[in-house]
Amino acid sequence: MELYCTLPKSVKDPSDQHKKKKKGNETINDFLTEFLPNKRIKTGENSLKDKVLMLDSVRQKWEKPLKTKCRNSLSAKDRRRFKVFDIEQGEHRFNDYIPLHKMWQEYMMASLDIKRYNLPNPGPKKENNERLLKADYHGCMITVRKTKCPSLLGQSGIVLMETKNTFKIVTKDNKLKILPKMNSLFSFTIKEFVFTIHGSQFCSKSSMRVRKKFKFKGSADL
Amino acid sequence: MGKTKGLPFEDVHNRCNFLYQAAKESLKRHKTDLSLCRFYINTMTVIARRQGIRLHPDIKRTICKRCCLLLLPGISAICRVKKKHQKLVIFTCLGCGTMKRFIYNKDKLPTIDDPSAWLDFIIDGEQVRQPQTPQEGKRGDKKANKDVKDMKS
Repeated sequence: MELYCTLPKSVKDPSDQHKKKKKGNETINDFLTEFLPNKRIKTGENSLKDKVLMLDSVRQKWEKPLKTKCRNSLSAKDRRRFKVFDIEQGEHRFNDYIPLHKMWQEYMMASLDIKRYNLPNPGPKKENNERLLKADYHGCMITVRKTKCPSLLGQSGIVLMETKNTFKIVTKDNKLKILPKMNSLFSFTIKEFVFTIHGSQFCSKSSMRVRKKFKFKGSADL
Repeated sequence: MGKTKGLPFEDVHNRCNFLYQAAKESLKRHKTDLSLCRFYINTMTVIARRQGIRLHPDIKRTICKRCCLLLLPGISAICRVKKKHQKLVIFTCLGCGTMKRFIYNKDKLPTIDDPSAWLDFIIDGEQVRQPQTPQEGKRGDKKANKDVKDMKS
């Protein structure tokens, strides 16, 4: 932006329509008729005279909680309002979450200790189970292998949110899908290694899974 | 100089670290839709609370306590400086409107910010520098827990 250059000619041009001296309201009406889209003018010129348009950006007014209620925590109403996951289809793009996916891969490689797989003496595989249980799956590229519901087969995408019973993913078509965890097998790959998870063992909130210990439950064949 | 043992809850620290970074990434992509960021930080705080882990104060200072938003000045928070009675920095969260005040007082800095109050300095599990003897009358007893600093993002 050049601050010291001369003014452009259009500003000084005396023949321009807007420069002629008019009454206050007329200049505004002329300006609006030029630049507003046609639909709004068709409703009638009266609308321009009476309507009040806010041109500044108005910030939301925050409701201050009363002193009796807790100020530092949310009530259930507010919690529902704030943490609602917007299921607007156009908002979430697959390409936006690829860097998240790369970060997740690095995190998993560190936590699962994948370097030792290549060594001649990999440790006992039981260690893996606990680490998989306690790990975080936000940003994981997950595919469905086996389910009871045939419409869910083959779905794959990046996990955005994990709730008690579902995974919420973004597919390559920029669509949001919700995959229930019960009665299904998921799989993901890191480098050349493929891991499969039984969804029915994972039915709990991701924050509650940290404390859970791994119990060997039999699971029905799918 | 021997190395300290691996920290007892290392995998949990890694997970909290990852969630904080993921929240920051998601905020930069979606400056209008803040619910993902809130979700990640909510899980991070719940995990830390369940396992009894202490988060580094620098992390806690950038989180809104009420709505669990990452406070980045310019994107999700307003940062203003006040000078009348006390020297203050005020962060207002743009999601819920709560304010965070940080008071600056030369004589009474919090222990994390005051190098003269640290007893020990550990980086990557090895003791890097011997502390200078703290001046007398200036908090000789308080300990600063610096182990979490190398886990910080």
